[in-house]
Amino acid sequence: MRAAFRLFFREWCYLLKRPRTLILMICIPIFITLICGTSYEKGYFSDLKMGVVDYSYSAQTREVVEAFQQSPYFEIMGYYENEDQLETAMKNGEIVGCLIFPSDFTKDLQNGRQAQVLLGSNGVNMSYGSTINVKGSEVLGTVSAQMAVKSLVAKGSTVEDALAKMNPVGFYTRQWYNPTNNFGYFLSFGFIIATVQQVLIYFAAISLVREKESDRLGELKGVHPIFQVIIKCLVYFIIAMGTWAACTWIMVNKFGIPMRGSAEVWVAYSSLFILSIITLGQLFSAILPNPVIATSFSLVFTSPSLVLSGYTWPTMALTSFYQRLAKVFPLTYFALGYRDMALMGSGFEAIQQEMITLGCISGSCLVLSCIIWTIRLKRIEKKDQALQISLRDETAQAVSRT
Amino acid sequence: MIKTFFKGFVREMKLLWHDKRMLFMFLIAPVALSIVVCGAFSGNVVNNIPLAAVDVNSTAQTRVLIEAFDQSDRFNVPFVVTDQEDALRLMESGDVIGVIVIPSDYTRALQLGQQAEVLVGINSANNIVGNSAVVSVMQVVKTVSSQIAVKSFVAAGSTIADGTAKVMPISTVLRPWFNPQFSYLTYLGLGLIGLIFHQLFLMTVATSFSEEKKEGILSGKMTGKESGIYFLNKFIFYGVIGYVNILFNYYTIIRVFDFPMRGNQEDLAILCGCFILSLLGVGALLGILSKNTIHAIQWLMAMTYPFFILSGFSWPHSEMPKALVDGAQFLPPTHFMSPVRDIVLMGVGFETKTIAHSRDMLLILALVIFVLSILAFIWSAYRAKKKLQPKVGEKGVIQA
Repeated sequence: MRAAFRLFFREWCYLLKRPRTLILMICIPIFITLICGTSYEKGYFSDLKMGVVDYSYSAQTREVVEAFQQSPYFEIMGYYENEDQLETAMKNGEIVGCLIFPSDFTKDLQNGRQAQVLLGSNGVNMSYGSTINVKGSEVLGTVSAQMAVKSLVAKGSTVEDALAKMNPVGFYTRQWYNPTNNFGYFLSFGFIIATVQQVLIYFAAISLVREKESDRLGELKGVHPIFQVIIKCLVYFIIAMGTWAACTWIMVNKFGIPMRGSAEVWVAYSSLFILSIITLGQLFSAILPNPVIATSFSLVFTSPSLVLSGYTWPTMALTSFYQRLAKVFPLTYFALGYRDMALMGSGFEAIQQEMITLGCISGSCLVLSCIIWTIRLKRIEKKDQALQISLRDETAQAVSRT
Repeated sequence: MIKTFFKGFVREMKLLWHDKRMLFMFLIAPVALSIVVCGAFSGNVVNNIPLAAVDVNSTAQTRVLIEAFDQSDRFNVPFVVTDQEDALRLMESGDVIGVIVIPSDYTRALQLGQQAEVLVGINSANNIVGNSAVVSVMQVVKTVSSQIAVKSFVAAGSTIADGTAKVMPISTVLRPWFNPQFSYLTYLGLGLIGLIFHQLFLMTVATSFSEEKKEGILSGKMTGKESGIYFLNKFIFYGVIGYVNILFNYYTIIRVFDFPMRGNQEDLAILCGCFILSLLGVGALLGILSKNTIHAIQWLMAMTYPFFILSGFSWPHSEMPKALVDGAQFLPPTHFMSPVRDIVLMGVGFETKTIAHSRDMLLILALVIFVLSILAFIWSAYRAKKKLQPKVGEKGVIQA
């Protein structure tokens, strides 16, 4: 027991003596939290720069342009002569969207025919494009409805009757859980969680194998290999939970990112995720021959995890091969579920399946790393004994010769 | 000197060849990871978004509306419930992404010639999917609404075209420029390849310099001249192989995933060259200043996401605070990831101010960091040499 405590404090001393390790484990996740919070502080687009090509310059087209100008989401940068000029302006970054009125726009309206307007966006950056499509469609829908209603009101209908006749099914959309369409809510969790994962798995991946590499296995001799794994896991768990709690506090209190989930769910879910990462890292550490390979392997393993986790690109849109591949990463069971917990206030029943899976990953990785580490230590011990015997024999032979 | 120079090349080749891990990380991992990541987005658009409909009084009219959503490529309506709470529960459990709430007076309002209102809620925790779903919702509801309105006009003697024009005088055509499918792969793929390459290339160069501390040019066991030549050898060797590698990566991904190459290939090649030049210095500096290989890798990997966010690739610099944007100017990915996407998808080149600025910034960064890495190299080699020299007291003992 005393040896186990000694190992626990030895691990702390190892980390405290190396400030680089603590900086990476604590400061980097906090740093990324601050970067996310600051970068996405505004979180939504406003004053999106729009260009106009109006081949049918009239009061009606000006009415549409004015409606865009009045919207807080758009800023009309000016009129362009043709689409080529518009495209050049888009390429130069002067505008990110456009309105194109065809030459027969006004004529069609006057003749009672449906007129078409093109709402363009720079689709290269989808965050611009998606906002322009939503907000632009809303503005154009409103202008269109106003025009239709006006024509009936002019014939003597009331506004209500006209609205009911022209637009019998009205609708209002509600963007649930992220009503301001804030990109900060959408992206921050993913980047911070992925960074915590990356930093943690690197340290866990070298936690055991570094003892062998630095020839310090002798210092651990008093502790059973299973306890060596568990004690090291405990130390990293305490540090990682502390760091993750600090990141969450900053997100909620400094940058106003919601945390609608309860504290119990947060603790349970976060603990299972962190435990799964540490045990996975320890499994790499128990198996792989040296710290450099363990670190490199962790890097290759974690690199595609955020993309495949379904956090930005939904899992349902992945091919079945990728859906299966995504199941390998603990991040898949946490990033999306955590965002739902934070924004939607999901409880245990909603993330139950994910928690069970994380628990299974943690348990199986812990058991495997304990078994493999024990076997490995025994082999090393046998090798050492064989080496000592052969050395002793050599010495004895040398003495007998002299 | 020329002999030493060529000897250095052979030495680099041997070092790389014998380190299978590094060989994999440098030559195979970038293209393999790029294919995995881009392959994940190969679906291009999210279709069949599951919705739940709340229909209290199931009538012919409400069924028409639900059917319209179900028929659309974008949506599926696997659940029709009678209680809004049930629908919300389905959304919270992740079974559906949105809900259509049809009020109880929907059919009555339509029959009385009043406007009936429908609520469509979309889970916007993922903004981009949420936004495109909202646009599609608008289109579906507007179509249903117009059909009902047009029918009444047709019944009164209008033609369908006249009725449509009366109901919807302005119709909207959406056109996402340079990315007509509004594809996620087109949006993210090219930049992510750059980021993956950035990390793996830096890791290789940093590892290569860091390993020199054991027995190589930073161990103090070589002459100054030899160390200097081998230092340059490393730059040239990794520069050339890295350049070929990045071009191969982009060529493969553009071919495999059918990216439209609208820009000039030479512009892309020049920008890749400038990027490699800037990374060589960063990698060398990191390898020289880090205590060992693991430290170099850990620092590098911990900074993956800050590099990505600050590059302005996903969230544009125009929406970021100035201090962060200013800081991002000193990072090579800032001047590479978005410009590459613009060259390939938008067909712009160095005639555009922003792309020319990116090239210039990469060259300036390359020069400044190269000078810094030389200084760090000289300092590190000098320290290593000094460590190996026996101290005055020790000298006496050795002589004795």
